Amino acid sequence: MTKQKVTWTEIANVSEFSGFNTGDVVPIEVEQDTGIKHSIILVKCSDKEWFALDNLCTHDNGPLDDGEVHLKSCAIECKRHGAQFNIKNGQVVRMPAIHPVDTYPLKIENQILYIQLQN
Amino acid sequence: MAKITIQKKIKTNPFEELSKLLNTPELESVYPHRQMEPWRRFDPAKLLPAFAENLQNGITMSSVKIAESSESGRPALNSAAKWKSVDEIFLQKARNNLKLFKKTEATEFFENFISKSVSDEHLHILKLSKNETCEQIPVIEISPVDENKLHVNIIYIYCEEFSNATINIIKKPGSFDLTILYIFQEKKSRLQLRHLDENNRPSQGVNFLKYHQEDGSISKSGIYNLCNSQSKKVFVESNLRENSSAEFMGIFLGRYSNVDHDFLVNHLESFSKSNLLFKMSVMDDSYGVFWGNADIVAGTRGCEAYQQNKNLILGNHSRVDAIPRLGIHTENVIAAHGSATGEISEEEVFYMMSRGLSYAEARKLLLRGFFEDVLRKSFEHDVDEADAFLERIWKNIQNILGVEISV
Amino acid sequence: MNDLESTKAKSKDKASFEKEDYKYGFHDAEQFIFKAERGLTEEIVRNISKIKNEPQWMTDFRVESYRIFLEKPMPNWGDVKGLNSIDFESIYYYLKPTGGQERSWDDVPEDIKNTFEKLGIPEAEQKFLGGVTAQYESEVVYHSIREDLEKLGVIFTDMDTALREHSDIVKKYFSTIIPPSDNKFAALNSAVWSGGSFIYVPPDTDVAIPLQAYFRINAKNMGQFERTLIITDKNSKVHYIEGCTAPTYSTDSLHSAVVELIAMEGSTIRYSTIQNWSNNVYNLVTKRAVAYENARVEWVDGNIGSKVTMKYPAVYLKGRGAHGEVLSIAYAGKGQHQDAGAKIVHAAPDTTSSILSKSLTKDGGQSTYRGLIKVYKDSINSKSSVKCDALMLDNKSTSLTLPYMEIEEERGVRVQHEATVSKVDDDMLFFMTSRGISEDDAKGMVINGFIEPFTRELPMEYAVELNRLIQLEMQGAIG
Repeated sequence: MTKQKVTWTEIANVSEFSGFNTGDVVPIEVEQDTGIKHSIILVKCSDKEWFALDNLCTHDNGPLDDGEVHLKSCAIECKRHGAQFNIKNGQVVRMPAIHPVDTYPLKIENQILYIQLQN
Repeated sequence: MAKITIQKKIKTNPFEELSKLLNTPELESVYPHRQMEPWRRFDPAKLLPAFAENLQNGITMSSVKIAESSESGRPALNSAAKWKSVDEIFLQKARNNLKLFKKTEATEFFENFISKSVSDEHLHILKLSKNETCEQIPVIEISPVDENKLHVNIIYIYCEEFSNATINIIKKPGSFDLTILYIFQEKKSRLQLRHLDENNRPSQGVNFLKYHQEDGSISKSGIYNLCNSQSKKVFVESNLRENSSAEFMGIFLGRYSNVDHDFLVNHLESFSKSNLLFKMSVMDDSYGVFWGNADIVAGTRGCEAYQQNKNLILGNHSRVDAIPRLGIHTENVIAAHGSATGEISEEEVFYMMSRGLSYAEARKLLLRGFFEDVLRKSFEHDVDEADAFLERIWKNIQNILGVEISV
Repeated sequence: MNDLESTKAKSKDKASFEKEDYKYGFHDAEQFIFKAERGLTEEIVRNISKIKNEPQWMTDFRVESYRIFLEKPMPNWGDVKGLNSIDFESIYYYLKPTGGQERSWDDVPEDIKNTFEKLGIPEAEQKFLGGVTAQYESEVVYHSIREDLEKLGVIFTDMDTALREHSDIVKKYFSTIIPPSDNKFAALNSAVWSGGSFIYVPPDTDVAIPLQAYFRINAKNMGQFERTLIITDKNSKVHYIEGCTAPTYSTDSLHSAVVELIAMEGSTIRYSTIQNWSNNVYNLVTKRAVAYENARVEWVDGNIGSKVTMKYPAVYLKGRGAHGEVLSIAYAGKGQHQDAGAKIVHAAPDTTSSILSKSLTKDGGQSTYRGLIKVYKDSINSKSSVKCDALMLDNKSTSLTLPYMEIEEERGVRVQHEATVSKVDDDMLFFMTSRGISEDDAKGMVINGFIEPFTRELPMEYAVELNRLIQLEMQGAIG
């Protein structure tokens, strides 16, 4: 299996996110050169770091961006039927969801936030 | 360099934006029966952004013309069939009967939009004259005119009493197509229609096929959606009056495509019969949806409604949704439907491989067999024209699969 | 009720009673210790929890669910008109008829015993049934567990007792299958639930006797919000039956239950229901099961009564080799709308499922089958088969079949669906009448044959009762 080259896509300067608090959900849309669009949410469940998840509840294929963040369990809950996903790794915490949500690695370099789109 | 948009608030509703653009009231009613879980399946609302974008570039009609269908050089049209140039009295009658095509909530927005965008001079009417049999097969060809604009078409096929014809329609898509095909059949007319959506470029669109059949009329329609990189919503609606019968057969082959087929057959009066056979096969990130609605209204007797749906998933992240529905409001009916979904049988592939075919060839052959019965049904009683059209269909299939299929 | 009647009731075997008008159209003079007010507020929710002496986490859960209930919109599908006509403010959400829990039959107050007599539960029967949790006015008044069950380690109590005595198990599983945000009525139930059964079967245990429960709505505008949780540990087996009745009232009653089933590896749960609510009840139930590896869940669902029933027993097949089955019948007579169905979700390889739904409609009733088969990606070799049959008995009724199949995986997958709608075959009737059978009887026989796949899965007394009920419903209206 050939090792895929890891490419980091720049999102924005970290200061752009200073207005967001822990527990907020930031929806972003990333359009790659190939024309493929990704709808992603950035969530913080502690003061420390951001996590990036697919903006898709795997139960009904609807968006997660209006979901509620549970800080203690670090999970995001889809408002429509109560499905919960772990923010850090996308795993299902509560039904009726079954499949985990895709997550994307993030890194901060020189005050700029990068996301890795190839999983 | 990728483009990033940070949305500081929740994404806007595509319906809202389009409402503003078109200055129309709430569009949510366009898909009322989907509001329950609008994202569960390929949501035609996803077509709206492309619709809006093309709309901004302007509206145009496609080029719609009747072509010679046979190589023998005989004219396709004669006294039996008249294209566009029809007398005023007939036009009046035809327009009156347009009212019988009821709009459903789901389709009202697009239908209204189309009728507002198309003036009478752009209305394409094909008249099939009373008591006449059309010897040749008219072929209606629809092709795009301007790559970036929104193509809007209304085509009206009117069959007078006791007329008898076979018509082929070949549509080449533009980047966004809105097409309505009205088919009105007066008493005891017979019509065979074959509708081929060719594939030559990525495109999106919404297509309507609306039928209205008066007493004793018979229709047989073949719908062939062969798609590569296309997203479409196809509505097929049929009103059946007493003793009329409608037969639909269709295939969908999708590659990198999302196509939603919404069939609705209304049995309005007694002894009407319908038979729907639809086969889908999807591959490479495709999404095929089949809605088969048969409605038999209260107070009718002896209606028969059959639906059969078979789906093959050929692999690579594809998905099929099948929703065959029955709405029966009276007891004196025979209504049945069946749907089956699966993959190409490994056993059968093995059987063929053990007789010398390669894996790929075996799968191709089985896929061909899958479509064969539908195509055979569509071309049952034909000679001459059948081969040419069939060949065209197979050629399209080959193009999509990227492989040779020996016909 | 006089002595003669009570003797009559006692001497009748449950299976042989006749159903005239509506036998259960009676209600005792109400005597309660505490009567909650109509309508719902956060204070009432807290009171319910306080009266039951619940742990803090349950009180918090109820209050949170109440908040969700207020926020959630009403479903905009199904019997929308009927749903929107429910007046939540005019319902009593909690009622406690006596001071506490009774252990043996002798301790139960006389007129509550009378109620059970009328329902036809002779004293002797409890020995056979093995454990009856009978609910009266939202509270478990009487329950007893056979010693055998206790020896096996099987826990079979009402939900309130389970919360007190087995709080660790309850807390682990409660609401993990159906969260309050699932839908508006699950949220309502989560806020005001009371009563219902709790069953835990330890590993490698086969509960040979079906466990049963009875409950009914009595006071005017009484809502029933029982909550059932059944957990079978590895390789265990249990069969639970519920059958309920309710007296006739002029204003509408609401029955909004939540049933959660968890079948661990290799275990089997069969859950049978016969619902015969009177024709003013809204029966809106959320039932869901999870089947782990090689487990089996079977829902046997009979919908005979109620004004509107919206119920879709679901099985989520989460483990390899799991099997889900739903067998349901619906009978919709005058003014009834049975919107039933099934949901099966294949989320693991080698899972199988089968749905058989039969419906009967007459006198303008409406029956709807609404079902979902979803096959997620990577559920290789999943097979599913759905069969829906509808029998229409006149030309005033309506039958809708709305099956949804969403298939995301193709390797080894086979999903098939078939449905038919028809009337009683004229040829068949002619055949029978020409042999001396009356037309009414002939139609009755055809109908019994039609629902036979369902009745043969029920324990004998239920099957007989069901056949009786159907026949009585059909009588006079046939032909």
